[in-house]
Amino acid sequence: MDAEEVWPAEWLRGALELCVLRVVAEAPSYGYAIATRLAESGLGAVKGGTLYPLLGRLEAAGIVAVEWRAGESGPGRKYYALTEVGRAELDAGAARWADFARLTTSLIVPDDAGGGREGAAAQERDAGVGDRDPDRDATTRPMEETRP
Amino acid sequence: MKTPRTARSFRYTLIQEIAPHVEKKWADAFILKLRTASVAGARIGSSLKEVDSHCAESGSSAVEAFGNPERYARSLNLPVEDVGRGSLAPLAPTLLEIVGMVVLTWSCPGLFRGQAFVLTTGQVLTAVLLAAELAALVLGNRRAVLAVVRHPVLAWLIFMANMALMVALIGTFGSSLARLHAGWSAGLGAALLLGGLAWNLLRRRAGKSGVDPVVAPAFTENQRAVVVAARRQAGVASAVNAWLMPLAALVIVPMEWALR
Repeated sequence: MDAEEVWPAEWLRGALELCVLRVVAEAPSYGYAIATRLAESGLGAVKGGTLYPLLGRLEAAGIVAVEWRAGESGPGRKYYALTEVGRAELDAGAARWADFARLTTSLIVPDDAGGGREGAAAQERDAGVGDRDPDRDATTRPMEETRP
Repeated sequence: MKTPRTARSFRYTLIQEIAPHVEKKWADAFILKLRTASVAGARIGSSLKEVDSHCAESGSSAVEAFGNPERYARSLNLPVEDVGRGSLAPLAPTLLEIVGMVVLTWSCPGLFRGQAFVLTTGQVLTAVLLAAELAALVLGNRRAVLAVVRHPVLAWLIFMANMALMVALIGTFGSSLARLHAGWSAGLGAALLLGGLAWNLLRRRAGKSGVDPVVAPAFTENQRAVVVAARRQAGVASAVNAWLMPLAALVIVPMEWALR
């Protein structure tokens, strides 16, 4: 299934570059392998018309370096590898993304499990929130505390 | 590799070698879009080869994976050559050769008869028309190339109509505007022609011939042979471009001598 059918296009636009950088950071890779890795991670099938212009922009910005290598049996492959600049870009971008994701999740799904609950709980702790609806608390409290 | 005999079959072989898994129509439109945007041939070939690599591995067609070829070509935002659209630099030597050729062939009949070169109103009008057309062609070269490729029959009809118009102008407006010494004007024409040729050859030697073949990274013997053949064909094309007008003069001037 196309990535844009799995996730809204505007979300993908924001996250795709960092996702691609992360894949390339694992090991130098080529377009189709990057697309496959993204699809396997649950992002959906990223079209060549979306992926390669992005890789071209990263190459032009010096974030990735490229090298053509002969394919095992098929045509040649253009490999992309993260440069030092790219590594710094990924580290900074990943940290910012994690903050952004925590913040947005705590805003959008304050009662949800995972990062949203932890983020919301942390924010509430930080803000010193006291009086709460007991029914609502029951859904967010750890299992041990909800036992009779 | 069996060397293709015609330019058309060579071009087909070139695309087949660079991108055998890409639909020919898609590859043609992609190359034309980038060509007319003054993107370097090696960059075009590399981008097309990457499309081919993706199609071969995914089993999908170029249309499915990349969509419209022209939109995809635009989205790559590839850098253009230093000599971009509307630049006179690659065409200037050839334009000089054309002007020299026209002046020389108009002067020779008077020179061979021992008469002056009589400049007529028709010749001036033709020269102005030719100059305006060449300027329009240079300034809008991308559109002109696209128009010729998309409508070759119409382009040929317009070219022939244009030639007929020039002949009609010269035939209709025969009144004399100026009389020049035929030897001087023929000498000027020959100097312009040879100057244009020398300029063309110097640019060629400096690797600025303006002929830039589409080539891609080569891994097999066939692919390497195609790259070599593409570069050789580009060399031939640039030589033809440089020598066409001087060789035409070598045919026309003796004819004018014979018909004096």
